[in-house]
Amino acid sequence: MATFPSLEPTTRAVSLGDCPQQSYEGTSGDFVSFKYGTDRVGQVLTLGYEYLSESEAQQIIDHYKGQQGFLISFALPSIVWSGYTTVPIPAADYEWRYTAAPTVGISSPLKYSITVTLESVII
Amino acid sequence: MTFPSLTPSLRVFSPGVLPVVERVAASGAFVGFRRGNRTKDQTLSLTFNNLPEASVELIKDHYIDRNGTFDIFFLSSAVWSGYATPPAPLLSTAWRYASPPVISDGIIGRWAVEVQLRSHGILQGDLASEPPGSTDEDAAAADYIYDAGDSTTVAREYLLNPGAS
Repeated sequence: MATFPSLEPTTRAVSLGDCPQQSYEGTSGDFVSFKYGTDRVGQVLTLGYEYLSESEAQQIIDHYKGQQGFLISFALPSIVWSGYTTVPIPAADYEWRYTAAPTVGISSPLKYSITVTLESVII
Repeated sequence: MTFPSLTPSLRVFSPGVLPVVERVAASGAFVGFRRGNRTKDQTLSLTFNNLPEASVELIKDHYIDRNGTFDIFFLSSAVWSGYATPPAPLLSTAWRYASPPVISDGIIGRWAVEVQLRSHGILQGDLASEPPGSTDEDAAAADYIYDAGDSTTVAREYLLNPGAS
């Protein structure tokens, strides 16, 4: 398992996921839900990087290839959660995997922007 | 568990609908059948800007405590700050998360949280218990009254108030 490159994101958004469940709604508007687990699934972390050097951008691309795209989960370095005193999604409970290929753009000449979208994996 | 007492920066409320099945004839004639008397699908979008981490934790912990979108809860009055009368009564409207809250970074040490809620029909007065045919006067003489939610019956010596549990 290769840890994600130790790069601090410029923008960051985390969606907290949900308990696995199924809901059924009647015509009256009443509904009933059945919960299938207590660990949240589908937590999504979107990281935006701006003004990366080519070597930094290459670290992310290489990492994506090393994880075989969406296949292999991995841990995040603490720098990804920079600014938090309590990480919102504990590393002891969840790893991450890519849900989409990183998109690489140009920030300025010889500087690159990358958007990475990750989904949590229960461990 | 009541939603954290935080005043949102942005609030969008949609008052929902009654559960109705509609039928339209070929002629254009319309008829609707009501399937219940409790408003459903009220939605409330809340955006909290520039929250410190402790407040973000309050929302996150509340979401986890509610098992994500699974369990219902009530709103605190701070959520309706600015209203003299909240458009969705605090006690008789339960809410669920419609989707996971999204936490995004603002300036250093401040976060923005977006929360989407959906109202949940609850049976108010499930435990209201008065003898059949009793008048208010008779009820006032009763020693035991099962009162529910925001019932306006006067306080008695014994009051069981289950809220919307």
